[in-house]
Amino acid sequence: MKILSFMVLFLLLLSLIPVNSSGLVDTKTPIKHVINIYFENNAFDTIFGIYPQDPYSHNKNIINNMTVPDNLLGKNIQGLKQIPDGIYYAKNPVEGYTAFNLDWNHGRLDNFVNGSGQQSMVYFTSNQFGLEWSIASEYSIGDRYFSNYMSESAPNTLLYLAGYTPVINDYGPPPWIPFKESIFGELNQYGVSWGIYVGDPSNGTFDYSSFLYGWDNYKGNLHSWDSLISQIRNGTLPSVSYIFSQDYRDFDQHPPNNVERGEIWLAYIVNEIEKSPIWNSSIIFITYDEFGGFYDHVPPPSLDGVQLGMRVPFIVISPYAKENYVSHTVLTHTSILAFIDYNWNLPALNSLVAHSCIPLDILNLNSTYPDGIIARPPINNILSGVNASLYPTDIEQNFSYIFPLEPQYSYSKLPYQREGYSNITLATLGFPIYIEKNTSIIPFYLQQWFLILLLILNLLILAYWGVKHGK
Amino acid sequence: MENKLRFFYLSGYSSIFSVFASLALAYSLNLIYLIGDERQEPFLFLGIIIGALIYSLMGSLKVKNILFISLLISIISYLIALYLIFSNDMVIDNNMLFIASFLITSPIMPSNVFFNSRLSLKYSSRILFSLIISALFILIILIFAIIYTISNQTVLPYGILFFAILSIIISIILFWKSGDVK
Repeated sequence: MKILSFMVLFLLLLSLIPVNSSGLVDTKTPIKHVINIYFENNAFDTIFGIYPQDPYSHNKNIINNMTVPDNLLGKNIQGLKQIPDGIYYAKNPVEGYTAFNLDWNHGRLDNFVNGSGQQSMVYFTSNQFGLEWSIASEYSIGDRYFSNYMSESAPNTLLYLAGYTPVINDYGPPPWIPFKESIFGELNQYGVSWGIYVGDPSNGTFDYSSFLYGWDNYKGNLHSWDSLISQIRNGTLPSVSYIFSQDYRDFDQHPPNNVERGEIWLAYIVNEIEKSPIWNSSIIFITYDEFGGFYDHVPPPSLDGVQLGMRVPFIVISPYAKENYVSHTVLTHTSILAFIDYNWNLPALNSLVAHSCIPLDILNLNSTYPDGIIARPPINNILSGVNASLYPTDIEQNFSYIFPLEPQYSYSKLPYQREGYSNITLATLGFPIYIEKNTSIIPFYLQQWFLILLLILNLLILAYWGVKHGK
Repeated sequence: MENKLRFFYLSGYSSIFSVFASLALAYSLNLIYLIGDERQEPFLFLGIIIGALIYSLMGSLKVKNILFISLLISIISYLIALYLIFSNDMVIDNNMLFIASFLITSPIMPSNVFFNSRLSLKYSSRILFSLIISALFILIILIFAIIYTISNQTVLPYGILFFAILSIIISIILFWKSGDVK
């Protein structure tokens, strides 16, 4: 009896310990693993401009039945050119706050040549992006996913990680963002496991860790891509993962890098997840930091007072992602943060996250497929005909032969529409806000007011000197 | 000899103070973050070079109340630059950037007036004084721009703090030493 009482007491005490490992915190969906994959500098129209029209395709029947996103098809944009077959990179347009705002031209989108330059007026085809198009066509894409800020990488990536940016261009730190105000700080607070994956974690940093004040205490959450593959295979991937393609091996698709390297790197990781024990509980969000100065034809709206940047590609892969689905929901990087908060029932990270639409229309969580299941099995032929590797080198291969893959389910038998949108936000669902007011950290001696104070002090010394000693 | 020495260290200090004043004002008004488009750099530096030369030479003029006038010109120049930049939502084309960077060098004028008034100079020497100040100003800005770029744009406020401390220390030394060099 004493032993039984002791065991009951022990179990009661155990239940009071905060949960902090993957899968133990309740989720609102069957998804226990959110996996974010991040590329660089491509607009939606640059990659999906003429998707799914493939002039080389062997299977026009499938293509002609695919959902067409809002892209360049049927539009005649003066000066816009296709990147020739056999060329697997684009020249780098001019980047920056000024260049991008000139491109945008207050929503008129008629000034790209003066803003980012002539090289911005190009788009790829299935010749270069057949593999990524194939992955996208089997799952879901968003054609209203905008970069978070009309500027370059630093502000957009900080919005991707913290829903907030204290910089308007690629400079700094300083200023720093307090670690607790990032998504990692919130996940930590609520016991949701997380990890960051980069090519070389040996120095304990990733590209934007220098902006996170207090990052040094969390270096243990930084892992290599090799560790990523191991954790996927053995089912120990944390609840939320951020995978950065940025690396000296050029997988990030940033111009003028060979884009096929990034595609194969991506397909390899996706294939590993599909084969793994975590597939049935995973969702993969693939996106790009910003549009890189490339032409896109959709004027971005503003969100919660923030002018969004141009559209970037957004691909969602999951057993719950609808097949060949195009979401017209207005999304941005903070929408991914909103999904994480929604899924783990956490407060909205901040006001911008609270007012960002959540990509819920992409998910099929109720309707059964013709075979009676809800969670789709893996697509087994993602890498068919591709020399797959986590570290691909010197790839120059016409990928149009891959596209399209055979649909997993016949389009006519899908239990949902293949396009739609959703206006659901954490604010409309009544979620509280975690960080009411974001802050940035700059030591007082580097603050603008302090340096002006020193200037005034200097002027007073000189004035005193002038008055005291005259000429 | 002593006057020659004063001539050189006062011109040197005047350029350091002008760099500090220009950078601190540009930083405090967020104007400095407009830099970043490599195609605009020729216009940016052309504005700085011409601005430094013209404002510096204007500071060598012998006019009544020149110190007050130069301060007024500097303030008005800054206000015009601010208007040009913020009325365009901080998105300015090459010509506008040239004008703005020209106007932002205006602190060099009152600085020149103040320091060359500490010396008894002929008109030709006043012009030489102005040319030295503007040349040093441009050189320091150029070196700082290179360091800023090499550091991945992380050292900006540290650099301004460095110029602030340097400028204040030199002004204090000048203050204490002024009896000797007067």
